[in-house]
Amino acid sequence: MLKLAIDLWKRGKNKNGVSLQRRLFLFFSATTVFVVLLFAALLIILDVGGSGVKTVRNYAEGELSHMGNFVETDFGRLSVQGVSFAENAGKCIDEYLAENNISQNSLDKSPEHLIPILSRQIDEALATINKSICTGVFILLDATVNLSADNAAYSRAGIFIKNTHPNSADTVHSKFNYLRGPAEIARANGIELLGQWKMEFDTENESFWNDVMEVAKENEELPLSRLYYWTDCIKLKGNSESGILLCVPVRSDGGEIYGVCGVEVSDMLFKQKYTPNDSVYKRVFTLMAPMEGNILHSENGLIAGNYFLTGDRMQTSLSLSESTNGICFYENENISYGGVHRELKLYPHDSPYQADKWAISVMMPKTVIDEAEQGVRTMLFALVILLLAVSFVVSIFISKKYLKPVTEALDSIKTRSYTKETPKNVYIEINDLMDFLVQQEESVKPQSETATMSMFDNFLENLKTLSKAEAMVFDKYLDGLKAQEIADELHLSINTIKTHNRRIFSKLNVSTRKELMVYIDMMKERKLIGESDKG
Amino acid sequence: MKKRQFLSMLCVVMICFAFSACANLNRPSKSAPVTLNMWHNYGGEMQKTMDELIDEFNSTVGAEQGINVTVTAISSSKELNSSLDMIVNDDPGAPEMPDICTAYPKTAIKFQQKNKIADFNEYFTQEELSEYVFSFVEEGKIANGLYVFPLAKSTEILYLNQTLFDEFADATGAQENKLSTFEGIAELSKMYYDWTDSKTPEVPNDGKAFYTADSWFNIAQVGLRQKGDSLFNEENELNLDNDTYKHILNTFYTPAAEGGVAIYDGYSSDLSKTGDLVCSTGSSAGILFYGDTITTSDNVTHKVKYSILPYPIVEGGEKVAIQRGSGIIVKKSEEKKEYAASVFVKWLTAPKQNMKFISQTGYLPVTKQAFEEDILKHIDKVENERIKEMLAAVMQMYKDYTFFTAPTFAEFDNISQEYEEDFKKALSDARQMRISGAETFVEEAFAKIK
Repeated sequence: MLKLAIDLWKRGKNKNGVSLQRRLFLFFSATTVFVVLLFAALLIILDVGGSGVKTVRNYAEGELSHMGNFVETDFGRLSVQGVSFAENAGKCIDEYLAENNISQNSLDKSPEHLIPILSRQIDEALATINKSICTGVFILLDATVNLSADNAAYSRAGIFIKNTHPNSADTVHSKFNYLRGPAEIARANGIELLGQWKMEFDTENESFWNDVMEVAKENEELPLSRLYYWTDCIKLKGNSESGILLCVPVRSDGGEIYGVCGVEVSDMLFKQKYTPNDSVYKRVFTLMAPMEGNILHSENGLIAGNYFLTGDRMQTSLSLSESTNGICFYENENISYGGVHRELKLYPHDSPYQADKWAISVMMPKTVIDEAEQGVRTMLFALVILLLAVSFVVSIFISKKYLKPVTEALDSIKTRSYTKETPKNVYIEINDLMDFLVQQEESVKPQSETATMSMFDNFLENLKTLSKAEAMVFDKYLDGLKAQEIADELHLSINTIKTHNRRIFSKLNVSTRKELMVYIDMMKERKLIGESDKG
Repeated sequence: MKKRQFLSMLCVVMICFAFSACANLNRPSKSAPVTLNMWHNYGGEMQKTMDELIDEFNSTVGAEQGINVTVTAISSSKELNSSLDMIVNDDPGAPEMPDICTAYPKTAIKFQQKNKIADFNEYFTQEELSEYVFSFVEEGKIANGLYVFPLAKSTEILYLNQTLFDEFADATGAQENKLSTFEGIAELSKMYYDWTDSKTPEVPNDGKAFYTADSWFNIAQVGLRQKGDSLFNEENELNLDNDTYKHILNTFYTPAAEGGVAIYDGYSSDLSKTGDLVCSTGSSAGILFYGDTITTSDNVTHKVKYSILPYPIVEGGEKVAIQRGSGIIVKKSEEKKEYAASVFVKWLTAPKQNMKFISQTGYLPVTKQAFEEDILKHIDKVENERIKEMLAAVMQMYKDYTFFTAPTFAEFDNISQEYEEDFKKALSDARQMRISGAETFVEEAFAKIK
């Protein structure tokens, strides 16, 4: 195509002035290039190149809406179930203490009663774990079975039952294991001890325990439904699994804080339940994490996505940097992610923990978004190039097609081969021109007989001036042959015949073949055509 | 002639096209992906390893070939078995059968009889199968087909709380080499009970148990094999009325009645954690359930060391141990899904993936390369000391012992469960009678075991 265009250009350039075809080609090309560039400008103005990012945004917003509602509903339900567990646990302990004439503030001084008290909690704990989508249920009492043990200051009696198969769905019965608590209670209830089992909880530096107890004591007037707390993602000492804990104070009817109970959502369960649809973007994941201003504490949150692609956990916080096309970017020193997020409502407005903000985000590595954007841009660029190429080809084709009848007409004029019988051209203007030329020739008035005869005599006289080759051609006209037929007969090219014609016409003083034929007819009428004349 | 040639050519082209189209329809691809639901029994600490492997498959080979594996249930073997029983019996409310599931041959045979599981022979060449440990593959064969594909294997070993035993040996002169036979264990059980009972003369009958077994059925199976006999007769009925079995029962009857052998419904690891047991026989894959401490009822924790010893033998018997571990079954389905499942199974059991799984879980690999070469090179790199010690002990057992697999027939599961319950009840009754001061007779126990 390029070669064709160059040939066309050269052909136009070699002649004097500009060729019509070249001019026409340039005109068409300029028009189509203008249209294509206009189209490209529109794409840029409308930011069609950013549609890859918009597609990612729409997808992420859809997943966020779905996951956000899902998480809020599930965690809200867990909060309610945790509060109910705490209320029942408090009542149960109240009853036991009353039955045994122990004052509510003497729990920590009654180690021999701890195992019976915890035994009574098993049914409620199992009921809670059975009806909740969680990986564990626990209760810690502010007391220990061995006041003289080395770790008595931090060791707290309690029970932690784990559901190691929380996603068994409805099809397979759940299996429970014992992470913390007196072994005899587990054995009595047929619960298997985990490898990480310990009899009591070590609460040293466990902020969830200390903070919840402290806040509960400071807010005696608040109902339990305002005192629950969701921890950051933590791993209990000696546990192999991390997760977030819902902690609800266990309180007596007299306001005494017995301890803390709640449920656990492990990062494994979070992954199984809240992984976004990854059929389109394999590296997408959900992050639920505490948020402070523009900082998303991903290291304290839960991630649901493909472990192989996202890694276990981000080790440092992510800072929210900028927003493009509705996509936010979250960065730390190692990696940058893009996605969307929204705040999670985990606490009621009058909760002491209301200032603790959580966010849920659906995100993916920024490189994925860049690839999506780049992909659309490359496609558009290729489209513009293709359109330009097509427009050049079309310009060449149209200019040639358009000019063909014109060049044919010009050739016909040059060879004076047009007659009334010549087929009509596709262009009206050219037909008009041809008709005009034919008419003009016909309108040549017959001269006076004398003048005619004089001209005829001159014609006959001029015949003698023809060269031998011209005479041969002329003789063929006498035989009634046309230019092409003469060329064939004499084995000459049509161009040679045309050259001879021009010279014959010039020497005989005629301007058209028609005029020549008039003289030839006159010669025939006067029977002047003979062997001698042909010479 | 030319016309005929042209028509022939056209037919050949059309047939080739049709065949190629069919071949494509029977294989997953990026444009026609397949999702496989999976149930497995690798819970707890093993779940994360399995999850990571599945994620890796979905992101690599699965992504390339249009195969996505989704885990829809993780539960214990017992619970999975219960759900699979519902499925195979078409019980009302039975869940839909998963495309891939871990199962024992005893469960698989019920599905095979109803033509509900796929034969791996259709998707593995003989050359491919020859890369796996022969006996592991043989274990999954039912009626000339390979219906249970080996994923990870285990055996039974003797867990010994070395710290408690050393204390006991120092005080009584008990010899550790007696742990190599069941008779020796029975003898030590009596000694240990008496020794612990004597520590508190003011409290009678408060001695502690020395030994228990996670599976008394396996002790009977293996014990009889060690003596060249079999627990089942040709009609697949229990073969108990023989001297060898009566000797095995008698070996444990008296120490159980006296309290030196614990009869417990849960796993022996539970008793070990509170120091209520010195040694036990159980699956080598249970290693993660043993900690490195014991905690007594007064919440005092003691650091202890466990040793992994070979499975004991019945005196005068051969060194024979059981080979166990569930495999993978694939639901009989359209060829495309069965093929996709076979791709996943091939990937999961390949040495690289298999070694990753076993080094985190304590199971044994199933390919010859991993079992005979990689595990020996890899053993020092295993981070978990307990798993490392267990792998070394089991590999030594594979050199010294002959392994056998439990027979596969439909009633096997029920028979084994009933035997276990009867055996425990007989020995528990004897213990209760002994506590109440009544005389006990082993014949009574024998009569209770069917």
